[in-house]
Amino acid sequence: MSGPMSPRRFAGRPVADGQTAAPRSMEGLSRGPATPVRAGRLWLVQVVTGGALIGFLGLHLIVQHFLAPGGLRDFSSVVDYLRQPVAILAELGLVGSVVVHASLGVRTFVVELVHGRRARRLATILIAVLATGIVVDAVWLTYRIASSQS
Amino acid sequence: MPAIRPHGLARVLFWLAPRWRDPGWIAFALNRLTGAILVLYLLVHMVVLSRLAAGPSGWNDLLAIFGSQPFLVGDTLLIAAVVFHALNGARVAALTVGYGVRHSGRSVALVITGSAGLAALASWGILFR
Repeated sequence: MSGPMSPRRFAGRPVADGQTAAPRSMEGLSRGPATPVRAGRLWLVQVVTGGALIGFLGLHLIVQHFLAPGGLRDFSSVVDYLRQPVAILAELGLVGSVVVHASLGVRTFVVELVHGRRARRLATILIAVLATGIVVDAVWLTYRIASSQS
Repeated sequence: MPAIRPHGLARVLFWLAPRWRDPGWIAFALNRLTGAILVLYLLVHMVVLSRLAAGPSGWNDLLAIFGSQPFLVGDTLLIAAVVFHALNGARVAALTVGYGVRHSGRSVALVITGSAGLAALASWGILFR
């Protein structure tokens, strides 16, 4: 028996001989980097951050480009904009959602290429460290700009 | 029927060949491509924005470059990538909750047409308005 409805397949992925097609119980599914339950949670996070991105990025494009004269803000205009608390929240919301969404996307890509549980875990940690660094850099940069003289 | 297992360059060409592929595969490949482009852009954008920390001289000099024609053409391509990635992401999210599963080809065509339309509108706004 073969095809997409075959019991030899689980979640669309062909199963090698000697393996069961689907987990027999939920025990242990929450452990490890590639378990279906964890992957499902990460997928949900990616969907939620993707939805948030549409809102934050749309707002960013309108405020930073469509409303700015000539489509670009000069330095004093950027400083004036970032001194508003709502603007800071909108920009940091954009950074947070874009970094989480992009990190999960890159992780998916890397997990498909890298074999071995330890290597995958190491790749996940590296991506998380890079993502945290980008968020910290963005917060620091926002603070520096908002506190500078326009 | 034995599985086709090409090797070497044939394997790469087999992967790139659009023949016999499901429309969802084309959307998947384009989603990966646009995602990779957007991640690279994010990194470059963060580096460029760090020039704001250098004060007005560090930023205002860059505005002339950002307003040049090649940069604006790049902006329109970037918007095309963003729009496709967003619309296809919405399509995939809809698929996971059961919407559009039986009409995969039609939904992919809708995403590509919608992306082309919105990107054309953005190009007009950026380049010709």
